[in-house]
Amino acid sequence: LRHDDERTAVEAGDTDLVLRCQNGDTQAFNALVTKYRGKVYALIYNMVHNEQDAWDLAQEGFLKAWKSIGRFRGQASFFTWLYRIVTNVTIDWLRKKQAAPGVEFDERLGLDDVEPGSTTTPKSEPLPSKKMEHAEIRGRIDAAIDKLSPEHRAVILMREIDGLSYEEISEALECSIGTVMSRLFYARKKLQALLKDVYENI
Amino acid sequence: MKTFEEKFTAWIDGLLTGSELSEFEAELESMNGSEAEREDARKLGGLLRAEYAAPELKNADFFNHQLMQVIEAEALVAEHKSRRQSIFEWLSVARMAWAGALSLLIAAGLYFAVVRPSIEQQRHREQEFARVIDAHTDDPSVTASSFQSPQNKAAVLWLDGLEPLPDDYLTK
Repeated sequence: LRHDDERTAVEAGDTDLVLRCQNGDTQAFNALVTKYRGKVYALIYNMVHNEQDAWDLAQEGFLKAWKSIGRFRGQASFFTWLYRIVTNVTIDWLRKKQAAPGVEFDERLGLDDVEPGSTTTPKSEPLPSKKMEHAEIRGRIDAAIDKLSPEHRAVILMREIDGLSYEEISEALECSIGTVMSRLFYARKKLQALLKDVYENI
Repeated sequence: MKTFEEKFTAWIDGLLTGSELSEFEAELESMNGSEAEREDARKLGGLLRAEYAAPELKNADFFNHQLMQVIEAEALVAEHKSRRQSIFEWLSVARMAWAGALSLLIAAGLYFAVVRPSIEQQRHREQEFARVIDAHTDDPSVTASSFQSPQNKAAVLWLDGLEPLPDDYLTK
């Protein structure tokens, strides 16, 4: 309940800033950028795994948001609306990168292999009791996330890292709640298969 | 009607309630390892939240500065474009047609008010001159005609049928 109250208060503040932006106030938009740049950058960084690319995509996302803020009608929260723009920019970028020769998402791994309701099978034997280093863990997670399609990456990161609800994710990704839940199911299955030895050893 | 995947996801996230929850858990009893699966999903979520925090945005103020510069530059370009567009909009087809018609009217007015009277006046002057010459040729064998030579800027009087002057008329 407290979380919901905080969110409502944040949205009320955003509404005022958005109205000022719609009247051409760039300082109001600067305030919104300051407020959300960290979250936006983090989401993009976790999807693309590169600081420079994440910076550029965040800039592009905010610029698109500024250009289309006149069309924002407040059906969703500003943050969800912003996430939609930023995620679309990042997914498009990942798709273009995927189209480049030599880069390919391994869509089949974990999707065809995973039967609904089946237990997760570790791909490798658990490591000995030695604790994994943070950088090593980060590298393993990066590699596992890289195996997901852009849409599956977005869903799992929004749910597990940002704690968004199914409704918010569906608004941000412009898809049905059922699609969000289904993507979450397969993304989890795939990551569990790839990271079981990691979470079993920390 | 939710699919198995949708119900399973909601069950893992603790969002299945009431009869939907009991029915789904009854369905899961026939499957081995569903509890372990839920535990794995929780561990995965914990791993991501604990270990997958993105690095902080470095030079955050410069991020804003760069973005605002781009926004201001694009606003200037848009303003310039809109000015050019408004000129082109003003020069619409209808306006061009009206301007053409107005130009034709002015040209016709100038012709009738200035050029045509001047031509008429010139013609009238030539006729007057010819009449004056005719009036002074009493001898029917003499004909007089006149014309203008614009390149010599002169009016020429041409007389035919005159007799030669007697020698004693010659001036000395």
